[in-house]
Amino acid sequence: MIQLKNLDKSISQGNGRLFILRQITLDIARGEFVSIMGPSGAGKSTLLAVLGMLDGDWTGEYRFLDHLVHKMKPKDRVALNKQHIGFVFQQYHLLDDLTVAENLDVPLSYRNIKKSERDSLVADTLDRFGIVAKKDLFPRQLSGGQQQLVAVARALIHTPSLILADEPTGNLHSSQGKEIMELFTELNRGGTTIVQVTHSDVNAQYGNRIVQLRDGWVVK
Amino acid sequence: MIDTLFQDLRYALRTLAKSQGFSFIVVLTLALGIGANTAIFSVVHGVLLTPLPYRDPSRLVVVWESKGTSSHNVVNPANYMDWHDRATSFSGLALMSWAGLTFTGDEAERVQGRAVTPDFFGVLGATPLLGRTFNTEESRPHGPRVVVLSEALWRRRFGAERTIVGRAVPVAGGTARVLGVMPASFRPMPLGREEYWEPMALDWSNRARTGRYAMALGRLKDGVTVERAQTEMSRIARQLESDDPNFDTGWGATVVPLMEQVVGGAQRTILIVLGAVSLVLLIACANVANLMLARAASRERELAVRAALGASRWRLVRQALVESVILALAGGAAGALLASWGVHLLVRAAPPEVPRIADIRLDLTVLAVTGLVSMAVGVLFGLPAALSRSGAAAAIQGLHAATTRTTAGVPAARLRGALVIAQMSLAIVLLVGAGLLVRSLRRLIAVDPGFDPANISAVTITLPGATYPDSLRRVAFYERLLERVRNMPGVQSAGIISWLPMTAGNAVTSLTVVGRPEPAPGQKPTAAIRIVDPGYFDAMRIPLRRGRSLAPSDRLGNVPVAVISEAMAHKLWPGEDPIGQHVKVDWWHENLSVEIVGVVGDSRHDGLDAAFEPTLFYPFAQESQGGMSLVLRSTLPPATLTRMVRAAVSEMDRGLPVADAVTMYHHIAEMMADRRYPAFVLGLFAALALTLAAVGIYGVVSYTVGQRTREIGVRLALGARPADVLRTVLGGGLRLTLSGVALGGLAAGLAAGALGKLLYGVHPLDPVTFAVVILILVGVALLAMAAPARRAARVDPMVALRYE
Repeated sequence: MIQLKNLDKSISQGNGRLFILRQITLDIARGEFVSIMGPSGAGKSTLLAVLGMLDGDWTGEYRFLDHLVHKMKPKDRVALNKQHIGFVFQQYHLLDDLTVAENLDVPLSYRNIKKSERDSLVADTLDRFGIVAKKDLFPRQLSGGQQQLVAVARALIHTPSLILADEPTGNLHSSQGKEIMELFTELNRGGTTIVQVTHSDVNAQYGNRIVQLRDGWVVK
Repeated sequence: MIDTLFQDLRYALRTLAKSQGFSFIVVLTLALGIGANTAIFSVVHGVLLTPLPYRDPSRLVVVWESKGTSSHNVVNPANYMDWHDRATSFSGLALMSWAGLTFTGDEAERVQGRAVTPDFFGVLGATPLLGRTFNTEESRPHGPRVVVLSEALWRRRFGAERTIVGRAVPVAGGTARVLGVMPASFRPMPLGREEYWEPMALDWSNRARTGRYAMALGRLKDGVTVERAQTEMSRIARQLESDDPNFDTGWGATVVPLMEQVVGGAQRTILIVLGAVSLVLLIACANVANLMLARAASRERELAVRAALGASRWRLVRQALVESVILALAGGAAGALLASWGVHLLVRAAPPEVPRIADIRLDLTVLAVTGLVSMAVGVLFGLPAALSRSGAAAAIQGLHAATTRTTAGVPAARLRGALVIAQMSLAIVLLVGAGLLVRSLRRLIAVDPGFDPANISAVTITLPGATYPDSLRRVAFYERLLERVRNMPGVQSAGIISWLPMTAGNAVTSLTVVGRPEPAPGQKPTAAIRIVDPGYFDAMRIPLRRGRSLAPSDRLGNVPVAVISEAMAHKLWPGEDPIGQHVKVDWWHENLSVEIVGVVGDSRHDGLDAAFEPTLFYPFAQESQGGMSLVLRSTLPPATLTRMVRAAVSEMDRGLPVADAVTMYHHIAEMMADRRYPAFVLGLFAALALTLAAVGIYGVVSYTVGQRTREIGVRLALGARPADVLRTVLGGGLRLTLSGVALGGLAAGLAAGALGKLLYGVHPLDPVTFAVVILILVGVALLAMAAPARRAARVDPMVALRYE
């Protein structure tokens, strides 16, 4: 599904450049559950951003399904992201002024889906995640675990084939974190490819492969 | 598309309702900017853009006579008759002159009017509301006394009675039959405020030329341009020069489109004010753009999440724009409310000389333009914020930032700084403009009019020709009145004059110096002519320079005498003594030799900025006229003087109307209206601009302090003194202010030339004005920065660092 070859990412610093990712060569097959680990500043989140096509400022080769991402225009990359990728963040990043149902609707509204169809998808998702009773609540009225549940539901609502999760349980206590990880496992069993960034060895074990990053290099 | 737009709209409304303080400030700022623009645009629309309320108004022209620098001189009726017979450019050419009529009855009232030739209404394409207008028979000399009323007069004086048509109404010396009523939409002609029309009795068989006092109004034939008509009229004027060289040598004709005549010099002033108010709107936009940028920075995380969830750049821009357009429309609506009040204020504060004042209103066209401007403004101020954070590329950066702290970002900070500099520059331009006009006014007010205007009030009285047909009766009336008035308690002195200084009326005549060779045709010297009583000079405190003043003995039957002004003495007798010299005045009695008996100090007539005019003062007991102004030196209020004079006049002639007493200072102020009004409006806008610019610099400095709280905490923890922090914060704001001052000073220097004739005695690059304006702006900016700077200096390092 994903093939990276000699991918470099750097930013200018003073007269030179500071490399954040170095010569990344990585294959992720459809249906895999990959955990990216490494110390702070290793480039984990940046790699996730590159995979999610939110960051286009890199060199090297990136093939996603049959698409050569390194040759695509920014607009086409956004379209590819919209079609295939869902994001889950450590901070949940729900939109504060929108209700749970409206938060779920946001990604659909960016995908030219009819209102009636969107309403139906939102209703199905609320039901599937058991949060129907919370649909009119605002994020501030939910617990951290409930917020992350909504964030996962939002990432999945348009049935992406790839979920990118950046420290999805980082702000949750252990029992809530476990629930989220079990949810990811279940989704993965259903065929969704998952790439997560994590510091937790326990959470990394939910995946079937671990990629170790250090100073921008893949070390394992 | 519609569905998601609706979604954006709903979300925007919800977010704006949540941040009420922000929304209020933005809407208020825009309301001030848009409101001021709407008010001024209603003036532009009413005065410059709306066609005149006559049929096919673009074909209407005024034809003046011209000589030397005077291109808009009143017309001689015989010359008009020759124009009428010879010109082929016009489908109609009417003549009109100023008139007045005293309506008597229960309460006498003097009403301004026009004497017009019968084709006047046809040339304008106007039809009466009731009845009819004049026919040729009624316009012959010695024809019946008939009038056409304006709707306003008909409603005010005759209670809108429809039976008025055909009725004879009482006027001084008899009655006048009302032929018709013109609708309110039929507006007065330029240079007048007439409320009725009477026939102008021209004797077409008599082309003798004596005096110029009328104006001609023409309708161009289809296909004839103003230039072609001008060429033809110039040719006819040359023919007339050779036909009657004594009267017409040196005289030409000027064809002026009626719209140009009506709007005249006001166009430049209105456009300057429009330019000024546009600057205010730009400052308001810059202010709001800055607020939006700060808000966008605080909403970076939200935009980043949306981008990560698949929002395209356009969707993010659209969402931001929907928000800004909602704010702009709310600002526009509030602005329209402010404008309705502003238009009222502008019309009330406007001097009557402002043309087409009745056409200034807030109508649908103006409101539609306000709506469009609001939309454009919404896009204008929303765009920087919308574009600053709309890229998906920024998303991940935003998400990272959100986990630590919100950062402004260097480009956004630069943009905010640039917007403040722009605001300061624009404010400087407006402040310099207003400052120059105010200094001009101060210079003008300091000008010596040649008389002492303090405690002078004037009352105009017009004796009807029917009851006061000859000079003896008029002189008797005024002498008795003066005697009574001078004996009134509280009146120090009094006099009368035919054309009161600092008012619009004037009379200029050509004359001949007895004993000198007859000048070539058209080369006769000219002088203003005034008819006064001997007490006038004392009342006005005009000093006698040589010879004697006029005396009560200067009456009909005695030697005709006159007193002249110093300017006339210098002009006609340079280095000679004018006392004992004789002149023959063409105004009347061309062959009467008048002896110069005295020279008085110069006084200004057409305003404080007018040059001293050579003037000849004639004793009223030797040559009087019906309309005279009574000048009174008294500390009593004008209303009391009016009451006292009315009582005195009423005892002498019950039906005679007396106008309200008006102070000389009021007349002087009216004469300065063309300078005073722009100074007032520009001053208002400059104050608004200064306030907005102060809010702008306060906002930016305040925001920067908020952003740098942690840094300031660290600095203080490392040993910085509060004074160092204060200096850093003020220094940053001052750099922006001074950059704005430099740019604005340059722009103001370039723009000040546009004020041109509005300036008096002040150079467009007047260093004092520039220096004062810069001091004011820097002072206000420092004041605006004081509060956030003090907040920064009081940051508790422990709290700041713990917070972070």
